[in-house]
Amino acid sequence: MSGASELERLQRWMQAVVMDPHGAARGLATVRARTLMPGAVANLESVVTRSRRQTALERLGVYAGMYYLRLIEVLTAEYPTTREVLGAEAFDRACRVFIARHPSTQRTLQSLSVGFPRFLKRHLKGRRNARLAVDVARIERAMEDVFDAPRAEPLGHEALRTIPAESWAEVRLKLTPALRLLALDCPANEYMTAVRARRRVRTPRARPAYVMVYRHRLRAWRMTITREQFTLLTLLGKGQPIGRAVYRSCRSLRVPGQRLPVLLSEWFRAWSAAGLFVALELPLRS
Amino acid sequence: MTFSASANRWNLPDLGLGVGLRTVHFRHILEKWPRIDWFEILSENFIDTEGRPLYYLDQVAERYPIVMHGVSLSVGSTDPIDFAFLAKLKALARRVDAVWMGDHICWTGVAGVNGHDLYPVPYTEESLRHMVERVRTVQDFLERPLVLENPSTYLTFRASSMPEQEFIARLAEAADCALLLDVNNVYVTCRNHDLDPFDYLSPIPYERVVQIHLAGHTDLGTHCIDTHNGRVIDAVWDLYAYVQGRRGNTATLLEWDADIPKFETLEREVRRAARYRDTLRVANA
Repeated sequence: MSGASELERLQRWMQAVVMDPHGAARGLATVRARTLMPGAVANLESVVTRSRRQTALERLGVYAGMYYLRLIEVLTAEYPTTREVLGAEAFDRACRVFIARHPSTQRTLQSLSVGFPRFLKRHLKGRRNARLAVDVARIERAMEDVFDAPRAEPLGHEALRTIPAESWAEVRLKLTPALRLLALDCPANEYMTAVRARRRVRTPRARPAYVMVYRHRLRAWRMTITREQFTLLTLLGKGQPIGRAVYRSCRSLRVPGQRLPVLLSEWFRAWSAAGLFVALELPLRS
Repeated sequence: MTFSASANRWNLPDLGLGVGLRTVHFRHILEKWPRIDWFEILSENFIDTEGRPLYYLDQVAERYPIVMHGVSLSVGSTDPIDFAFLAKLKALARRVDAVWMGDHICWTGVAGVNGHDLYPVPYTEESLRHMVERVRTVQDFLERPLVLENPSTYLTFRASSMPEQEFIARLAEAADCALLLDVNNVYVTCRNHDLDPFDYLSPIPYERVVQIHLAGHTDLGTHCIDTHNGRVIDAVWDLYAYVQGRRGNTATLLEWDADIPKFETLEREVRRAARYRDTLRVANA
């Protein structure tokens, strides 16, 4: 075996041992570790030396302990309310399983927990508060996403006002990359607000709820929106012209005919002020 | 032998005394513009993001020299070099006009996985050849010398055929890279491996040392952990004084990454280094 492959074997072995979710001792005994370094189980000191105060296993254990500690710390910082919903112990257990099944493959930690809400959905299936925990986790993940999302200069409301009235229906708006639209199973956003304000709150009952998470002036914001607003923004985000998007999203909206334009004007003004629109495409005229 | 401030292999400057740029201090720095000589950034915190950290960094970089220090280069790994990551580092260096950039003498993962920790390599001829080749490749890509730091280590491999300090010295010479000497890491490593830190420091090629790290650590009795969570202990200041004596005044940075105190506390702690520097300046003169 070449030098590089000896080094590779040692690195794969150490990684298998220190990343085992049950600790270095269990990691050493796995088939993977034993295959990579057959002599290590019987005589670990043939691979790792001991110090005056620590055995070889204890020294490997330092790395094993730090691996989960560090990454659980990252998840704890990113999902504080999810942790409140599940309780510290259950949250840490879930994190440990998640990290073991989905180790980081990136150089940075920004995307470490991208799959955490989806993982929780499977991991918590059938457990109390599972639906709420997953929804809260989705919001918290979205806040991470928009925080790091690419920058795009928002269109001012003035830009929208310059659109000729007869063109409005055919205009397409480009949404900021720092926006996430979430359809949830329960009103998790209100729950989060209450928990983060240290107010006592009951677990909400399941009902459809919609949230938009966006970055404005470098801060991540979350806001409950209606089903119609959710659908309208989703369709605009898919590149549909405003007219078609409004028709498809608001056709079932029960408001008096003359009230709808006022309502839409309010929505667009608020969204524009929040920096959700970054470009507009006017229809081509022959 | 003592070198003058810029007598390193690349004439990289003595930046004076700096601290790590951390999120909790952004506002203080932008409001007070403290009298600190330079900042070191953790490179990975500013790539793959276009949010607030980068916005603040741009402003800080207009006023202070910035040094980039990474934790994911994994120059000792047997995985292929990640050129996409290097391209991001290079772009960030251009953006902040980094005075230099570096990482650690370690590996962080293999088989496509990143453990986000600094794992030691066995100090063998094979490891040395492997790392020399990779450091050269990285330097060619980045078009500048890498500044590589001695890591804190918690185990040693039976396969090692030379001490860590010899490995570092030979790596630096053969790859023609610069060194960041973390004197707290020297203390932690030596405590963990029952070594004398002054023996460790003796063979370091000081003409390649362009930066020094100071930090606090946690002593658990059986071993020390490089936690960067407190003041620098006297024994580490002694090592710093020794290195100053060997190297002369060198860009020095205080790392404090956990239980981070007010910025003023960091300033006071790093200014303690000035006493050693000024004393030696007089002695050298």
